[in-house]
Amino acid sequence: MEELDDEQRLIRRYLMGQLGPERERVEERMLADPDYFDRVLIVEEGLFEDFVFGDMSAPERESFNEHLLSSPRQVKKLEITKALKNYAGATRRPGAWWIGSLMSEHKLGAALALAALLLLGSFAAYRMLMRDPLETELARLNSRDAISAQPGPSVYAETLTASRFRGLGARNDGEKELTIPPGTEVVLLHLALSGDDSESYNVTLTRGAKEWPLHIEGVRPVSADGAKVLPVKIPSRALTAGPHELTLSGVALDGSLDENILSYTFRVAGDKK
Amino acid sequence: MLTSETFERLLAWLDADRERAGEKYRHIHRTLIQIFVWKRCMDAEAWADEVVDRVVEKLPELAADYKGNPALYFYGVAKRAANECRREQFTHEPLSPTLNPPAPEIRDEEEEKTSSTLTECTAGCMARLMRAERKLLRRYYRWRGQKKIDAHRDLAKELGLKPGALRVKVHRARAKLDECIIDCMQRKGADETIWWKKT
Repeated sequence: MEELDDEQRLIRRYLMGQLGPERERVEERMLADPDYFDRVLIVEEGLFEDFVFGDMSAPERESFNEHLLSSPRQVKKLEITKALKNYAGATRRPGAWWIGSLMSEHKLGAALALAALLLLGSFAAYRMLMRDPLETELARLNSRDAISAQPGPSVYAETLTASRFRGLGARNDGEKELTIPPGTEVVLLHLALSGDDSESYNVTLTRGAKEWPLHIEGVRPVSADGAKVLPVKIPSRALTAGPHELTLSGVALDGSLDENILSYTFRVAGDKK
Repeated sequence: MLTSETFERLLAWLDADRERAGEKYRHIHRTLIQIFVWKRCMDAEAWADEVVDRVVEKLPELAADYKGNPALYFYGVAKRAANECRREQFTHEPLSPTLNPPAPEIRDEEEEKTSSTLTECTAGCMARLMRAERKLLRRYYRWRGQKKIDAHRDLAKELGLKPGALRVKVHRARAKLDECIIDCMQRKGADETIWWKKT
């Protein structure tokens, strides 16, 4: 276990159910002080790591089981920590994590599983491990050179205003519906920045419940009619009919991130074909 | 009951600045949930909402008379609610999914499926993190024991960070990853009763 300071030791005892009346002071402080709450969560994360990596004594494991694994939410944390440990332990070279994970468990079973996977075709595994091609295309479309070029004939452009600022605001308030003309290759969305002046933005596109979110890093704002907007180009095939959301995190000059500043919800109408 | 009207009044009580009030509300709600989790109350979100509802009910008096940090008022209400939660859990049957567990052979199959979904989601979500975060988590979670301590110290030195600051960075990356993985598991329809089974 890594060295802990007095505060961390107290928090650890709180989490393991070893504090008496002092519990109330810890809980009050968590509610009153967000930074302190984050420090408590960090200590808790450390406990999960110690448990998963076998760096706990038997009495500690018992306390951990009793006090920190008593709900679905907590057990999910444990399962994710284990999955991350397996992933990290096996990714000594890119793409090899699942091989390492299998080999460390059951050698014969691993050999058979590996053969089966190869027989079934490695494309699915390759696809899973490699970056989503849509994200590669998003990065290309939103590179500095591409953004500054004039939109071509197969580009459909729209302006969106933020529906939520730092998580506040009604998600579907004034949701815009986009009717993308057939044959459109790229949708160019101008996102009004509502006075925010970050150096650049990381953009996350959430596309309904069943699709992976897509990310674009380092998109720079431009001036339009005296106001700053963020131009975001999206391949039209990424925008299936239904609700979507774009979330911006601001990136300062020093690289620090201001997360989830602005959100824009919109709906894509019907069938584009 | 929290309506948009009562929510606005709650925000106004928390802070005159609406944006700061929103941050305070989000922090209080999130912390309440976690406190109920650590107090081993099964439906922590529902209990946190119950606390907010009770505070909102008292808002007219609080807005006029209460002096002090509103967060501490929430805590007072939460303590009473936690006592109720403990009484309820000891006097009632635990809720499903454990009441009617599936047959062992079906459970094994489901566990394997869930485990492989989790593996897939972990890899997918790691691939979707920013490059620096992905590298950080991969290096942070690789070792155990003394090797882990040494590796963390070296990593902090390499990044020009104090150990505490490294831990904060890892925590932030983990928060994003965990959210992505939970979301992914839900999208892929992972069986909740298996997904959170105790090991």
